Amino acid sequence: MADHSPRTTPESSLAVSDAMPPTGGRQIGRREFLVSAGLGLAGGAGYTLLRHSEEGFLRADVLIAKADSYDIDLVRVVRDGLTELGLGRAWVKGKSVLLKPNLVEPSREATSINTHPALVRAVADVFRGWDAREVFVAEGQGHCRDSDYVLDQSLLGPILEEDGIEYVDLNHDEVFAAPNRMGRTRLGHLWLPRALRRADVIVSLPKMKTHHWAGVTLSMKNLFGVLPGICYGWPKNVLHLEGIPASILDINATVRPHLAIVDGIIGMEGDGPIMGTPRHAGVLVMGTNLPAVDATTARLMGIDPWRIPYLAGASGRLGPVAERHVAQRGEPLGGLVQPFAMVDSPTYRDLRGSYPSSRDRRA
Amino acid sequence: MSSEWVTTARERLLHLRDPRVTAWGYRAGAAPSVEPTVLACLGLLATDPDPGRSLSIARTAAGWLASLQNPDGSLGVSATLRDPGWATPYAVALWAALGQDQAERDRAARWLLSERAYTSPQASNLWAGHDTSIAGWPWVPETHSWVEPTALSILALRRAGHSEHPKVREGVRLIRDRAIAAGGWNFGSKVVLGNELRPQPAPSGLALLALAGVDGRTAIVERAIAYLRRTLPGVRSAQSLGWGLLGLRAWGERPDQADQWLAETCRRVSSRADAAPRLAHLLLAAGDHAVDLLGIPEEGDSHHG
Repeated sequence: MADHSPRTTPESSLAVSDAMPPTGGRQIGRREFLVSAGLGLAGGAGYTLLRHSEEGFLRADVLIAKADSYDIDLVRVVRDGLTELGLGRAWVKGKSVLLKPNLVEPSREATSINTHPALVRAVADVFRGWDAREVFVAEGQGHCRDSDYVLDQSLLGPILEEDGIEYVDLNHDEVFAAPNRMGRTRLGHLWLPRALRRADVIVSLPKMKTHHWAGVTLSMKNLFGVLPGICYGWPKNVLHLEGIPASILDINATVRPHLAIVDGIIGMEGDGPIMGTPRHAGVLVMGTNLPAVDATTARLMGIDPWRIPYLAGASGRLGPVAERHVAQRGEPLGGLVQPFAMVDSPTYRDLRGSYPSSRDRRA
Repeated sequence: MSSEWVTTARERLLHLRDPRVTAWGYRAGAAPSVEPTVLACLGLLATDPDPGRSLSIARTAAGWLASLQNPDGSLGVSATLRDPGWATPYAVALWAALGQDQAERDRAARWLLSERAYTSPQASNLWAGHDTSIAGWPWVPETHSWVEPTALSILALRRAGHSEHPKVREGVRLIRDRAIAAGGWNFGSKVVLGNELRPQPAPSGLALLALAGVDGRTAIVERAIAYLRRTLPGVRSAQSLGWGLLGLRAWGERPDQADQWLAETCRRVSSRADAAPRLAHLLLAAGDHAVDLLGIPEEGDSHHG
């Protein structure tokens, strides 16, 4: 069995989020505290408590915003959505904000593979408008070592250049070892790029896609891209062999991102994350609790979140998954559900759920 | 090679060197790392009008690489990140090109020849369109074999005199097996769930380098050359353009506009903090001596199949 623990002594055992306030520094209420505590305690004694808990005491807000195309005023949609969630200038003023899009593989023709540049630009504009100290984009894409090529092909590069937004290649950044806060894989530490320490606020900007291994790839799976290729390969095959759901949980528990905004304007169905078919869904889904955001997005895709192993594993540990524990804001979910086609095999057909699912009704 | 951009790129690359150890990092101010250091040395050697100066720099850098070698023969990413050992073939390539550090080179080659990749009985399901029982080289030991580390390892081991080793032959077999029917290579797979993946320039260039001198102009080679010919005119990123052009050169092809593409890319990256590995790729692709430095036989000099 492979031993992928670091050969060198970790230069620091400080987890990335030890340097950050658990919710990006804003004042939090009791309900939010409970959700945050699910993250903050995941590596210590609290995790033991949570492991034996149901998610009944966890709550999170998730907002669905309609956005029919990338040509509309996305700045307004994002700003209004975040404001509705209670996030505003006070949340980011003076802070360093890392935007993590999903850039899987270079392809100019297949624009539904990667997070659309217009959304990345809009989110950056909102945070800059709210006086963030800096906003930078960072990615450690899974397959292609050539970041410049990925940026060119995704058309994100020219936009970043035009707007003067720095791009950090997480695959080749210097690294530090952070203790694995969840331990679902055999990895004792996770190597993380130093850019994560620079950020006060980490924002996951995934594409709304089916995934032929994980079922869906949304804000939590997007965090695969913060692990550096120099340590885990291209793709991060170490994580595949450790188990994708387990790796997703470990990474999210250790990195503890602060916000997710899912690009569901045009998503991907079928053989995602690369070879699937574009699917117009016309939504952005956002929230500070990533399991809740992903569960809501899965429901919008007509997929039962309880049948996605990483979401079932996140329930009660990293956040709520049950619909009744997610305070729905913005557009009502029910009217926007549109089943995404799944890979044609029994395993994936079984992910399909009625809305609401039977487990949701019980939860 | 007398282009003006080459002179500029060489000067900039030398400026980015960490003078304490004569080595390069992925970014200015970052810790020196094996891969950018080897690429920088090869790029300087390949384009040097006065080989003496570059040779001196490269020999010093090669000594630094030797100081990083692990007891098992592998080299990690940098002095502080001692594994995984995917950068080992880069060090072998430079030591072999310089004809120095024979003991270190042999130990590194032995490690490469003993490195294990995850394999499984040939898949008969929908998932993989390639033969999963063939072992090449992974990025991280005991994970799957991928095109780029396999090609780099083949190049390094061939340069170190191991062309006929069964593991090198198996690596070549993997490269052939992973070729996409429409031409070129993706990063590792060619078909997933019945969908043929898209070829990419850097792995396609590296795979063509690995097949040079081994295969003749097979259909796989011809289709990959055709893919790069039609793709590279639109590529202005250093790594993809560099390996793509080198892959073509290994088969006696050099697009008329190649120098212009390299110059445009150089202008784009030279002032950036992460310029070092990019300039190195461009110089290596431009250099008159690149094919010799990488130990690529002349086209048609195939010696086994």
